[in-house]
Amino acid sequence: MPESYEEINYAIRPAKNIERKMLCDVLRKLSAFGMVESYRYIGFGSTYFSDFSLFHRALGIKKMISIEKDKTHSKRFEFNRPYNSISMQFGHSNEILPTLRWNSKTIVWLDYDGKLDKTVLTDVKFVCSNATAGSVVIVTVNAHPGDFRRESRLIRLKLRVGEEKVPADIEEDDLARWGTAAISRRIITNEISETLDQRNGMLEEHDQILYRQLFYFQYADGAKMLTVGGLLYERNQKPIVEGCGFESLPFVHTDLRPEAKPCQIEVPNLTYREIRHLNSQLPRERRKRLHVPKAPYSDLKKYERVYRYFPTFAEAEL
Amino acid sequence: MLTKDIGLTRSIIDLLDNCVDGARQLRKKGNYDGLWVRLEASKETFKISDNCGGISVGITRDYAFRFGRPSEMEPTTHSIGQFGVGMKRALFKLGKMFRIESTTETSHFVVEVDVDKWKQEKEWEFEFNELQEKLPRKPSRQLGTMITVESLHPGISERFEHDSFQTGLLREIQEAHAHAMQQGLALTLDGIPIKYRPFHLLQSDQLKPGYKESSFGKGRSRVKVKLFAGIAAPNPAEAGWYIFCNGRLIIGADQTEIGGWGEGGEGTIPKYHNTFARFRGYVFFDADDASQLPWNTTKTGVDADSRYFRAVRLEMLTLMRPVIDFLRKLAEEKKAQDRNPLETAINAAKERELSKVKTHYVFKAPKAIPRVKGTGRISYYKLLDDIAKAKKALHVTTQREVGEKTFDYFFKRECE
Repeated sequence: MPESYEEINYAIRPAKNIERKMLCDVLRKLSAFGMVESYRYIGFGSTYFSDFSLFHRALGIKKMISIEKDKTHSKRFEFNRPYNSISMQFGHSNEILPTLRWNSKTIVWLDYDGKLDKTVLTDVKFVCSNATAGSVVIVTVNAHPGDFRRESRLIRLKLRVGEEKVPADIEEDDLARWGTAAISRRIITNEISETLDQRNGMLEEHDQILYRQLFYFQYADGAKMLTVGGLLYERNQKPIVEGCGFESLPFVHTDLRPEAKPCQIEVPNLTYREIRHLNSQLPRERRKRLHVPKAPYSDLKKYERVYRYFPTFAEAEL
Repeated sequence: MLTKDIGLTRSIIDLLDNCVDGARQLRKKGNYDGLWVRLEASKETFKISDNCGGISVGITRDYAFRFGRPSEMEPTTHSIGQFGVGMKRALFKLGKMFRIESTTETSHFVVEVDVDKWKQEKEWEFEFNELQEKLPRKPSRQLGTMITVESLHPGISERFEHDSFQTGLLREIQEAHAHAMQQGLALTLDGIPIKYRPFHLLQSDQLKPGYKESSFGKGRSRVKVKLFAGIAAPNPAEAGWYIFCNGRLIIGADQTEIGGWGEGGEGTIPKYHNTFARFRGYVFFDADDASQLPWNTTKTGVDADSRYFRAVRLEMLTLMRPVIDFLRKLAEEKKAQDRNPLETAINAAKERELSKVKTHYVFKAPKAIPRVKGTGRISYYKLLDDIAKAKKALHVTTQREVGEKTFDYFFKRECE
């Protein structure tokens, strides 16, 4: 069976492309914690390394680690690294993460293709146990509800993550449509807080590590996907966190309540000609209405929400 | 009487803990050369004597012979006998007549108790049978304590007669007080010196155990933690986590959830299995104030709910995972190939004591040779003479190469 990187050209997925750029804008605001370029970035680059390219160019991050499961084609991955400061680590992330040094601020993007399962939660646990304050942890998982014609989605979820991780109040119907994404976020957030709780057991109150959610995206380039994540910081660093000004970006999502509505990244169905026409009307003046002949208005609004991040006609992943 | 809740061996070790505490008080720098503890256990008598400084009259009168330890008492720095109840409970468990004689620099006392008679008294008081205080210091006076128990309870005296009891007790003492013995304390049981088995890990240039230090609390409440994770000889009875509080082993060879086995529904760490028979993890908690340590009152286990222990446990998980991954690869290597670099690396490593072993921030080991996807194994038997001839003809030295090259030879001519 081909690996995911052999099937999908990651560079073309528009919603993913938008999400990546939005993440980048948020990460830029970490400068209050220290120069962003001094951060380390850990991700799953595959052969495209789109996130690595973007973060290096836009944020100046040099120390980068790409974790790759496929050991047998290691030379191909090494060849495809866009910049030489990217170091490849071959093996499963569960195995690699505990072997890294965790004494510097890190942005970790656990960008999985598959659904939430025990290995994802293990990675979350290892990162949250070890990452230093000022670090950012981001998790992306496939949140497509399983085929309803097969046996219970709830049972399959319990098998995947372990029964004790599924909150007791979840019912079968909760997993339909975007419900799986919401519940996956809840389970991931629970893992983060429980791990921090244990870790804080040996820390003085002002040194205790807290989690501020910054990202809660849902999107679907094909399958429904969920991205959730945020900042780990020491209690006494609260003023610094406020000083970052994350909330000035409209897609930053800090509401931790399970019922909070996510930031949906929707890619409108517009032609490039229509997009160029729209761009000339943006940023929209107040009271003026966007106008493109015969295009559905809902698509115009969708475009407006993401226009600065939308992949443009001339843009190609080089 | 609170005697039901601890085992016989535990009781004896509780008495031993007091001697070690005495040693610690006497030799604050930690060198116990010249200090000894002698244990004797026979059908009629149990005796424990030491030269570790003796128990003062004040402590005996005001604290040692009351149940529990009154809170006004000065905490002993870095002690392990902190719970006070240990001595009385142990003596009551052993027999009906006991005698304690103790000599310090300035005092000497004897307490003799006949339990049956004492029970009939209304007040739970004890009396000194002999008492001398404010003695002039004499360098020749032997400082120490001798506790003798007679009229042993029937169940106890029977057990003392069994070899298996002696062996079991010996092992527990060796484990519990390895640290004190390493520092020079000489223990004997029925005249036989107890050898301590130092804890160790395999180490070489290519193979190093993982090591981490951390601490929590401040000032007098500060607790230092040292963690080691690595491998040793494959021995299921000895594999697992060893947890020490102030040098005293509390849990040995732990293979349960306490040590993280099975964590995350086995997603983070698998349940213990004999694949991991080489695993050794050591955690040392050290504190001046023993009440900060994460142990339970009987010193038989860790207080798993302690917030300190739960935090340290996360560090244990991170340190142990690379060792687990290595052991899995080792097991696969055995099954799959005749090249075994991992096994070779292990055989080249030497056992080193924890105080001397070279460590790395994470367990370091050679990487396994990756199985090339889509390959299979062919194996067969041929006459050794024929194999030797083939080696010569092919200019190779190993049997594996003979197999590979003869296959390639055939394949090129008949299949490509």
